[in-house]
This record gives sequence, C-alpha cells and structure tokens, in this order.
Amino acid sequence: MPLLKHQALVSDDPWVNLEEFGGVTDRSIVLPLAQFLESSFIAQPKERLGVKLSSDESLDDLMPHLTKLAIVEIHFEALRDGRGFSFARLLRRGGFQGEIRASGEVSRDRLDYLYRCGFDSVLMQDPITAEEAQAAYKEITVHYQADARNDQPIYRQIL
Amino acid sequence: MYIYNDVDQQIVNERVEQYRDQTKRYLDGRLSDDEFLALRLMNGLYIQRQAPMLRVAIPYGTMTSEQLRALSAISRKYDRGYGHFTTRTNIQFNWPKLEEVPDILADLAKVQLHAIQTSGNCIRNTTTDHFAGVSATEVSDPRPWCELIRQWSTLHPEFAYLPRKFKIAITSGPEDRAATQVHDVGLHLIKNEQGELGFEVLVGGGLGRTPKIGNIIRKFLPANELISYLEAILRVYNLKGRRDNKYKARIKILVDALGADAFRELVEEEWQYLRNSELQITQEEIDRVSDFFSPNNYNTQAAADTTLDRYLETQPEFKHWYLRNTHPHKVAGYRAVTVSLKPQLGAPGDITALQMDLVANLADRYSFGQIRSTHHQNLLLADVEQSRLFSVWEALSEANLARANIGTLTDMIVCPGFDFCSLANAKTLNIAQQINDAFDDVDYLHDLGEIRLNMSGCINACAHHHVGHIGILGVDKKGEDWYQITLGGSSEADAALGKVLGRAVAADEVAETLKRLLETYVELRKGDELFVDCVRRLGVEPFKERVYAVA
Repeated sequence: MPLLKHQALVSDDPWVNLEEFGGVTDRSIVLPLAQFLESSFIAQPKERLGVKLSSDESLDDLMPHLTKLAIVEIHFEALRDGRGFSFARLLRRGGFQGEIRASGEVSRDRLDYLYRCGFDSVLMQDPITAEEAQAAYKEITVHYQADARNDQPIYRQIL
Repeated sequence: MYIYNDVDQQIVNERVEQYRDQTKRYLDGRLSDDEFLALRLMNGLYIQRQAPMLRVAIPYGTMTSEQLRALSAISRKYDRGYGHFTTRTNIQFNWPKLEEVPDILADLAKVQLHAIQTSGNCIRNTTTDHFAGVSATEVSDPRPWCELIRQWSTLHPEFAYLPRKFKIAITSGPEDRAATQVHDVGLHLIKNEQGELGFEVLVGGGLGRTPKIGNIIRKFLPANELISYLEAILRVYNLKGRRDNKYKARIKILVDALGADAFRELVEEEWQYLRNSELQITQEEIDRVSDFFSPNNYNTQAAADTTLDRYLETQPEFKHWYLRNTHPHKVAGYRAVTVSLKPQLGAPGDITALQMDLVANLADRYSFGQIRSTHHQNLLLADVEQSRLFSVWEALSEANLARANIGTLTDMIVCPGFDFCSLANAKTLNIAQQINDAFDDVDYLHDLGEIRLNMSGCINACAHHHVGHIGILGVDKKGEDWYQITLGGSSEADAALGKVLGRAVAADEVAETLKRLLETYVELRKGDELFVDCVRRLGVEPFKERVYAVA
C-alpha cells in the first residue's frame, strides 16, 4: 500500500503492525489499542512504539499514554466515518508530537482534510502517483477555518 | 447583502475545478460509485427518479437580482426552464446532466453562488427569518451571523463526514419564522441585561422519523464566541453521534440518549478549550460583515404617499393581495411583499425562468435589487415603497405570482414527492392540486385565516409535516398512496408537534377530509380564534369525530 508522508510518496516505512507482542524488538512496531492497554509493562522504547486506534474505539482510553508513543495510527473503519478527523485534532491538543497516521477507508479526496486535521501520513488503499498526491493537496488553497496546521481562522489570517 | 471578497471567490472557483476533476475521474472510471456518491452529495447532486437533481445554495435565503437572473439562465441552458425552491431556502434543478454539472457550478461561481454542502452528512445552508433586517421586532439582524457561519462551515476539514446532516437556523426577536426549535442547532440572537449581543443556543430539535423540539443548552453565549461554541457542539456530535443506524444518527438522538444536561456538560467541557482562543471572532470581522447588511437607502418621504389608500378603496382584488401577501416593515411607508409561488395550478415552490427574470426586474425597480427565498417556498421583495405596491401587484399578477394566499391553506409547503424524489413513498403534487381545486374560493380561504399546511411524501419530512397546523404525510400501503393527517403542529415560537387525527385517508379523500376538518373549525371557533388555537383548545377529538363519522 502506498504511503504518503507530509504530502509526498515515500518508499520506506519503518513501522510494522503487530497483533501481539511482549518484550523488546529492534523493529518499529504498532500495536492494536487493546493489546497495548492489556500490557501492563512494555519495555519497547518510545521511539519504536506506536498504537493503532480504530475509529470505533475510544480515544479517551489512549489519551493518558501519549508520551509513551512515537506514532498513533487511526484506522478509518468506513468511508463515511469522520471520527478520525476529530481524533487527530484532540491528539494534537493533548500534546502528542509524534506521527499521526491514517489508514483504512481513506482516499485521495480526503487527503487535504486529513492533513489539515493534523495527520502526517496516510496509508493509501489504492495506488496513487506522486503527481496525483501533490495535486490532491493543492485543490483548495485558502481556508476559512483554523485547523491543526494553522490556528488562525480567516478573520485572523494575514493574507 | 454580502459581497464576496477575493478569498470567498477563490474558494468557490477552486471548488468548481475540484468538483470538475472529481466528475471527470468518475466518468473515466477512476472513482468508484460509492466514493463519488459521498463527494457529489456534498455538492448537492442527487441521482433521482427521473434524472440527477442539483441543489444550489441560497445562503440564508438572500439573492441579488443578478443572481436570480443567473439561476434563470441556468434553468434555460441546462434544465427545462424552471427551478424549485425548498424549505432550506435553496433552489433545485430537476433535470441537469451529470457531466454538465461542473459547467453549471462555473456559471454559478461567476455570480458568487455555489452548491457546496447542500446535501450530504455535513453542515448545510444556514436559514433565518425572511424578514431579517426589516422586522420591527428583531433585536439585531441575524444575517451577518449567518454569513459568518457560512464561511466557517464551508469545506470544514473536521466536519465533512458527520454521522448525518446538520442544519442551523437563526432568528432574532419574539417571532420565530425560521423554525429554530426543530433544527439541529437553533440560535436566538438576543441581548443580555447589560445590553450585550449574544445567542440563546438550542440543540437537538428536528423532524424526520423522530420529531423533537430542541433543548436550550445555553441561555447566553457571547456573540463573538459563536464559532468556538459551534465547533464544540460539532466536535462532540462528530465523536459521539451514532453511526450504526442512519435513522438514529442525527444529533437529536444523541441529545435524547444522553439527556440534554449531560450533552450540555460535554459541550461546555469541550468549549473550555476553545473559548477565548483564536476562534473568537474579531470585532473588526463582525463590523466588516455587518456592514454588508446595513439599512438600505430608504426614502424618508415614503409614508407621505396617499395613492395606496385610494387603490385599496377602489381595487378589491389588490386589497385582498395587500392584506395577505404584504407585511409590515420597520420603515414607515414600506412593505415587504411575498411573491407567491403557490399558484392555483402548479407545484408549490416551482418558478419558471420567465418568472425569475420578472422578479429580478421588479427587485431592481422597486426593492434595492434584492430578493429573498423563504422557508415557506415563496420569494420576498423585502423593501417596497407603498406607493409602488400597486405596480408590483399588477406585474406579479400578470406573471401568475400574486395569488393572495400567503399564510392561508393553499400556501402549502410541499416536497416534490414520488414524482421526482427517489426517497418518497407517495405522491404529493397531485394532492396539492386536489387541495388547490377544492379550496379556490378566496373569500372562504381568507375567512379560514392563517393555516399552515405542510405535506411530505415520506417520513423524512422535507416539508416539515409534523409542524404544520395541518400536517399531511404520504405513506405507501400495499402499493397505494395513503395520507396520514396531523393537527396542531407549529414551527414558530409556540413550536409543537402535530397530533395524529386518526387512520390515514385514501388519495382521493384528502381534500374532502380537509373540508370536513375546516367546517368543524368554523363551527367551533370562538370569535376570531385561529385554526391552530382552536385545535389546541379542543384537542383532536371533535375533529376526529366529524371526519370519520361520515366514512
């Protein structure tokens, strides 16, 4: 699956999703939220640890643990499920400075909204060329709202 | 009237090209049906029974004559020479071609119009009192706040995939002509004891299959915190609203499930992060937007006119029209004029290209070049000098736009029903015609006085049947159209949901049933008691007895 990071196609993705894990590994791993919460102790260093949160799950459960993680992957369960957009906003507000990744039912026509809500990377389901990706981020170039990238709404923007 | 600046224009222009590309990718097979569905809906394009239907936003129901002419031109160029005004004060075109929609949007953008978020699970067009700015009783003009909401809600990155659609209405003053109590969010523009402007905030009203009256969750919100508070409401809804069942996905279900108090706490908790932040609207911006709605350059001598009285004395038909279709104006010597889109023959809310051009011309000559669409599916010339009323009436009469029926039984709100809509269960336009045929006696209609009749062709309630004084809901029973009648609803300050009269009646019995209902009213009313007051005093029983006794 193509990975977009900071609006560009990248070929190397260090992160691997694991369903179960204990101990320590050299790999950079992303655990499901439930697995992460069940482990009372994870020795894996923060730089190589992430959590995958389904849009069906509770963000509140993850919020206390943000300082232990380098990446949060938000998995969109359905095309019309927009909860992930708010999750990303709340992660940033909660002080999370690691990577926020979108996966699942995400596509080209939502890339810009994802970016504006604070997502750094998107794991695409369908093939996309570098040109297509670039174009997707440049369709609407002015914004009325404040967002995760710019806290100034239109009435405070200096244009 | 708000005029776009460069930013507003740029966003709309870019949106046209974005949608053009989406359409192209869809037609090339590079965008799936399901994916395109969500995208086209957010641009007001439905695929209907006969053809696609494009809904164009008329932000809070305000238009310039230039815009109305452009809509007329679009209806001729891309459609069949007419349009249909909706309860969201938008206009729909019933016969566009999917591949031509990008060109229609480009034509719209040239006159500062668009179809952004006129459908889909996102924030829809904000509606308001059609007398905004000319009502003597309003506290302050709601339109600047509507415009601020329009901008904030347009292409909002976080709230484009809500559990379900989201509708906001604003009113100001004691009358509620915007049905704010049956909106997802209703806003009442008020002043507090210190004289500061703010909003009373209602949440969780709605119609559809679970009709609800909204709950007040905040008695006073400082006006400049409007955006931050809406953002808090929307975020709570986006996170907590149900997504497992589209019929339980509106915010009213969430508010009901949590209880209004618990919902309020969630919103207030979220708002603590957002208030006093960059989201606070600057005074400069409030002033900038408000300036667009400053009072027109009224003729201070308008009230000195004596010709109106003469016409009223000598022209009985004009007088009928004057009494029903014109309304008080805060400036002496002016009236607001309703252009009736409820003719004897024709679908309620429909308007031809020729009629659009004529209304645009009248607006230029007599009403500062502006037109409003109302949630009752009529148009309004808000600022007409009384000395011009006779001329306006003559011109409207010739164009079949002066039926003196505003606020009466035949000023029905009616959705397009089964003839056009793929959601509908039953036809509505034939029933509207049946009612028009049965109730054409203007004196009788005027004697019946104010009656709001709302008729929907399915439970989704696009025509707000629950809050009609008389509500009619079309239902399908074994392939036949039947009509369920409710009484005593209201969408105004005394908002209430109508009560079911009894079993549904057959399609050919609707007008006869209404006749019996109204005969009962005439018999039982006390003095000049309005129909809805009479129903409230007596309940549905006496009406029910009379209606079903004969059958």
